[in-house]
Amino acid sequence: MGPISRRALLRTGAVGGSAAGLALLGAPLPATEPVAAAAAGTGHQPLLTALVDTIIPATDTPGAAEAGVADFVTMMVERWMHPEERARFLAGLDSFDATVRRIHGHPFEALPPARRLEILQAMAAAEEGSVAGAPPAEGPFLARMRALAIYGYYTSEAGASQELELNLVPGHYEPCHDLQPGERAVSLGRNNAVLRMP
Amino acid sequence: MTSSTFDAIVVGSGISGGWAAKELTERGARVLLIERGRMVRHGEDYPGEHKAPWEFPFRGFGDRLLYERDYPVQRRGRGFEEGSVQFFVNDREHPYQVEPGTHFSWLRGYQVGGRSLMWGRASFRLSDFNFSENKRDGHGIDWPIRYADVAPWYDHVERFIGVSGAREGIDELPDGEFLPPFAMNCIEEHAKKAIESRFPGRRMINERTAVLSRDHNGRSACHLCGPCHRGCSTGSYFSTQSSTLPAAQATGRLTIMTDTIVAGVDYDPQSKRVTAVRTINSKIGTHETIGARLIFLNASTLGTIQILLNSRNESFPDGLANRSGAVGRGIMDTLKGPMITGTFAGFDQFQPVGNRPTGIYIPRFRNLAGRRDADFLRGYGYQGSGSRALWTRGVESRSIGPALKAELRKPGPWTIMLGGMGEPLPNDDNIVRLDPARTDQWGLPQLLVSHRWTANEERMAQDMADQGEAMLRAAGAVKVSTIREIKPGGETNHEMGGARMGHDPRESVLNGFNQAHDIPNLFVTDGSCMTSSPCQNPSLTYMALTARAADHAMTQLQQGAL
Repeated sequence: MGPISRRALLRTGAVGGSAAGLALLGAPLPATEPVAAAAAGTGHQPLLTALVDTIIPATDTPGAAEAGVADFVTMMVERWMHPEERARFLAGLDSFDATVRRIHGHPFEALPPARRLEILQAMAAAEEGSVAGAPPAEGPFLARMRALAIYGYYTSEAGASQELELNLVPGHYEPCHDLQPGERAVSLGRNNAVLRMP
Repeated sequence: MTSSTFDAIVVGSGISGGWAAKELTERGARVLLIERGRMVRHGEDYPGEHKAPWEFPFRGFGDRLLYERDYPVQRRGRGFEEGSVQFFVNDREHPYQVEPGTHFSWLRGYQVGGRSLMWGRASFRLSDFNFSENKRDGHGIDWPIRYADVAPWYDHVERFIGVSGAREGIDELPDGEFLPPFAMNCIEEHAKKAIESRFPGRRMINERTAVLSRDHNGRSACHLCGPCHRGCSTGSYFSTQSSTLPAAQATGRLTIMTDTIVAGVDYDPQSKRVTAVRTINSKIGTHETIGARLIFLNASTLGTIQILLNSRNESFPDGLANRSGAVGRGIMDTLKGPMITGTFAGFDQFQPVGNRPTGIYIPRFRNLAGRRDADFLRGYGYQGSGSRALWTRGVESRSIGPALKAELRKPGPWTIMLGGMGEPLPNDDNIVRLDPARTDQWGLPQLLVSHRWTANEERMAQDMADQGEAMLRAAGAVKVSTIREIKPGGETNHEMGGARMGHDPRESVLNGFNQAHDIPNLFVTDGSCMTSSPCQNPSLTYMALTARAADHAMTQLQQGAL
């Protein structure tokens, strides 16, 4: 059973599963609170979308743009960062935008994907060891951007359950399961069923 | 005035309070269970359970700005996160003070079930070795009980709650009545062989856990979802809600009163008995006095001390049951902080399926019977586990684009984490008292905590880090990273002591049955009763001592002795 259908069944309390009593799992899940779409006013959404989708592009699974990661980044900048972290992040974004326009003659989001990838790869190499601190709150600009893209993508429905494997209620335990060809990593696992940022 | 009278009042509905309510009602008592926090209904009030990351506003990472403002202490606790924040107190609303220059993190859950909802579930017995260690090395006072006194009550508790583990025949870590263990994974099996062969006398065993590996007593086996501390609607781990509360309710003799703070306990100097509790309704502020023949304090270690100290009267000018001056003295917590993580090469073809609710355990190997093999007294164990690194490792890689996705689609390298858990020396300088000036929103004195680690703990912590590194290297770790810093007291969630048991009323608060020396119908069976703080996780012992004390209290009550 795929993760989506299992989840849908969980909501109705109809999962059989191998563990006895899983039918009791039908406690209603409260509706998710809407995440503030605070991008309005900043005007950064096209650039953020291009950045996260270059870091995590569509392949045989959706990329970060389709997974809505730009909205996640905006939410984190608006509601998770301290004011000084937010100001530094937005200054970094503006500086990145201006530099790309100056050197390449176009905004980052208007460049072809291959060129965008080159720009970020060169920037990642240049940033190596430049500013201390743990992203996404600290560190050099691209490291913070990369961390936000990764956290946002692999906790999105597409990233967690299509790109990787997600089974919220495995129902059984195999300590040393033999990986089959093509089998992917899990998006939540022992010690990481709870996510923490540095 | 006394509005009604019960056979017994139990103050607090957490791990020990739930047990007191169960045992007392099952022995025929009409019991009032008083909880200062809100009702949490089993299954219905676990909003984080089985949620996917994208269903949380902050994807599970939590509302950092809110937590920094309202949960600066609670957020340091192990089980605190976006899916469980509702089970922790708001620090702004429930202030306490720490003596300048000292540190103490008071982790709290004010609700029915208390911290039984988000506890770590590790369940180990203490041994005769532990109960006699104060006497042996002269630190602290002697426990008035030994293993033989508690062993049948450990049996009783384990049979009821269900503890998964393996029998190992280790003298200092007695076996119990176990359900089958959750098996080790391949990297743990590998490390176990290497450590046990390279370090004679050391063992790596399954962590013993109050999670069901099989259906048990009408509760379902664990379904391996992972984050137990968000609540478990199948009742697969021990909590008040899953276990003791339904048993107590089934007797028809339990009354529950929520949102009710116990401000103090009334004492009658004529009969030399406690007679009633004085309560404040936390929502509407009304006061009430409720009588009972028997009172059990299970308000958590610091909560119980607060009630005792705040119950001064002419007979007990320094606090109820405090003729010894020992109430609030000798606060302890399991020493924690040093953590060693080893990264391993190989075993790439395996990946665990299911989020095992427990891990591995390395029992104490320092300063065991008849040996002194370290530059500190007492000893420590490790909790740990092996797992494959998740996608979060991508934050440290440099890849971008399709290469990043390809890298993170594969399971990461195997790692083993070991976290030290150590026994501090009993230390009367670690004190909880009432703040002379500050009160809370109900006008009750705030607590003032003074807690410091000593040089013995500092040396022990260094050995935890050194030995952990040595064992992981011996197991073949290709990279080892170590945290050596000790965490502030309280952060292990094992705060205990302050109303210790002892032989002598002049230096202890409780006798060997958790009964106040001077007040035969007052019992204290939460962590405050502890006379030392062995390195094994303590909750199973609180349960066993509570059941034993309840048996003693009911026997005395029925004989007319109370």
